[in-house]
Amino acid sequence: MNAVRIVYHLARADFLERVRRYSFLIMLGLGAFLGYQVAVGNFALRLDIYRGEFNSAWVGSMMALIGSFFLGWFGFYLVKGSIAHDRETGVGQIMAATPLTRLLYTFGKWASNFFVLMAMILVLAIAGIGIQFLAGENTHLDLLALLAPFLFVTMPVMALVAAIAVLFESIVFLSGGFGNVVYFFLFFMLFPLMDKLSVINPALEPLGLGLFQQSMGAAAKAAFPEYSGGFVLSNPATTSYIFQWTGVHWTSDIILMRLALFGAAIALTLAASIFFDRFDTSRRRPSKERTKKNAAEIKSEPVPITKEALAVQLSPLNASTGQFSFVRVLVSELKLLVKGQPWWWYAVAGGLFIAGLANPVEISRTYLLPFTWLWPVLIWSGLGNREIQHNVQQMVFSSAAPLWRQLPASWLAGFLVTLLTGGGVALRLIIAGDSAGLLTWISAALFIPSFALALGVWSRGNKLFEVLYVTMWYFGPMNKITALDFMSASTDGYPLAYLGAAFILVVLAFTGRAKQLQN
Amino acid sequence: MKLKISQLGKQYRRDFWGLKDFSLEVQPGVLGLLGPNGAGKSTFMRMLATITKPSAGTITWNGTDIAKSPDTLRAVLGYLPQDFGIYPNLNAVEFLEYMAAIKGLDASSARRRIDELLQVVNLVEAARRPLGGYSGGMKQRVGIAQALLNDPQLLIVDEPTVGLDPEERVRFRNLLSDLSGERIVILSTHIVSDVEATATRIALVNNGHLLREAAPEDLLKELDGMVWEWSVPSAELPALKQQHIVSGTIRRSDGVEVRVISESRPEVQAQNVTPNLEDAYLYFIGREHHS
Repeated sequence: MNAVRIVYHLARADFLERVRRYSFLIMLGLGAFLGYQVAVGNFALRLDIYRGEFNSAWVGSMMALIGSFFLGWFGFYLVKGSIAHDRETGVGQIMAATPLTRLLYTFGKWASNFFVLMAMILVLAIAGIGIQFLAGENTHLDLLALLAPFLFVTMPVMALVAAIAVLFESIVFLSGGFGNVVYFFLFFMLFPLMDKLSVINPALEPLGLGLFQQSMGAAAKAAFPEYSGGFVLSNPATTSYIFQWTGVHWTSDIILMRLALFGAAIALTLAASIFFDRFDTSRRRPSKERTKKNAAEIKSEPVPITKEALAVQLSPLNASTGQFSFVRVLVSELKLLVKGQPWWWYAVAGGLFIAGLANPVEISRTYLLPFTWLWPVLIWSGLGNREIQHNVQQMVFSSAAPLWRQLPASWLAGFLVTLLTGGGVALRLIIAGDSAGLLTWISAALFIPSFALALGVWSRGNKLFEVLYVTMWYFGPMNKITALDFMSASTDGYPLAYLGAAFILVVLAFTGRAKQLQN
Repeated sequence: MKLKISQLGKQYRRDFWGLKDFSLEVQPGVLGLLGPNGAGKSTFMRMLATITKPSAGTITWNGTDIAKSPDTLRAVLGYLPQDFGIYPNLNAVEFLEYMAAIKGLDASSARRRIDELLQVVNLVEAARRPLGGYSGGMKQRVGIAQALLNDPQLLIVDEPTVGLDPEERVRFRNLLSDLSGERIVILSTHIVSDVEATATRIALVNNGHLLREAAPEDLLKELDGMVWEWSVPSAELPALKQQHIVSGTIRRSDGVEVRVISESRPEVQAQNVTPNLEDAYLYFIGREHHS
């Protein structure tokens, strides 16, 4: 069997496995939602107060850019998890026992990721055709002009994202929640670098923003000489003037430059094959201490059954109901949350606590609190889904009153982690007599575990919380978007609204868990 | 203590029932559920364990419908699922403490019970090590321990001996027999010898239906005079398998010694032998396939 055939079958099987899942419909729904937002006029491309006529080139480019940006960002989270799925299902171990090479495996996964992303891009392209006719500004359908931006801009970006997802999954420390957070920052911190690339050659900028900005900007300037720059994907309400734009002139240089991104994707997939452990679990224990422990455990396994052990009789228990201790469940839930972190995790959390207490109120609240409450993100993200992630749900859910015993303890444990980590800033606020600051602090402390629990229960995983929380954190506390500043770190925020949201989220979490229990 | 299952059914798709018209009354003792893979055993166990809701019929525990009031049963239930996980960063003691707290055991009872159970499942030495480093058999023993934590009146164990070495398997079978006196134990497996060693009643399940529920000796009695052994040349074996239910073969120097289930003597030289539970299982399941 030749290599291409192997990669094809790997990708095909993986692709079919994913598209037959319910979550794929949600992914397609996301693509359709983006298209819908443009169609109803909530979202569009504009150059300051100008925009192009809705012809095939403009609509195709706008949809391609939306695809590049949103699927470049969220697409990573949507496709990451394919190797983990093989690991969890045990299929990986079966494949590891075949002559399949690491290189072919990672290429198969890359191809599958790519096709999944392209399925969503296809939805956007089809939506684009609908939008052009719906707008009715120019009803001549030029398929080449509409599809070229998808082919030369979005498709290479998707190839790159597909490869990055495989690479992250292949590197032990990036394969979990930490990798999800790292990708977010990589994506947004790359923007300044992209601008520089755009100056050298607009086609080099991966998302394609520079390429369109240059071409569209020139057309806008020709029609409206007063146009002085500006290029955003946002609410189109402020656009007042329409100009004609017939699309990017796709020269062979531009096309080659764009297709070079495929080369980058292939290079990343090659790199992934080097890091990929080929389902050898022993390679996933990098810590020396853990390796030693593991060796000791395996060595001690064949313990002979002693006479004393054989003589043990189980003492009967009296009726166990009515002796339920919430505190003991809470302590166990707390252990589950914080146990297993490396020593430096506690050291950094302790350092942030002390810094929050020792610095002036303004610095503590504006700069330290956001970082203090970013640090435990991977701890909170286990709330509400840990039982399913570790496959203990059958045992936990078949215990008495799991909805009223385990779930409240789980939430409270998350709340305690929030209190403990952010306690330094809270003490500082109390010392300074800042009661308004303390109220916002309390509302955030209630909101965070409630948000994590609700998303964990409903998504049955940790990824959704990790992505949404870090996004909110970035745009709210760090970039001063008031509505998203749940900590009221850099704006006045809406503490009462977040208090209300916390309550609603807790109710949602309980509703979701009740639904899981009634399967 | 009475578990009554009436007309129980679970529908997965419009045209597919994982279990249908399943009725049974279970008394204290060990009920062995026997059936091929996909017969509906795990579906049945999951409904009993209040994990899955029935699509039809009822399960009552001492007269209470457990679909309407699952906590009545959960308080006295021990459940070992066929496929389960553990929290890798906790050790066995911590995990059992967690499960004990959720099950509502008081602290001192839990401590005593955990100590005893760790000895019973032979995990005392490994008790303080993270579960993430346990082998499959060790994890299975932790699962067994958690199922027994609350001294359950109804113990449901789904394929409990998977991954256990022969010595541990025998030990677990003995434990089940010891435990069964004052409680109901439901043991699902396709390992006939596990059921043979422990079950006081046997339920044969196939294609989502209950084929037969009886004491092991009654099932065996039905096969009296129907199990035969004799030697045949190796070349004749495929044809023989087409005609009869062959429950065993042993290679000999002069051919193959076959064990066949047949209502009449299949060959002149065939000798009638005492039936065992494996013969009974193959006979009843095979008969259903033919019908």
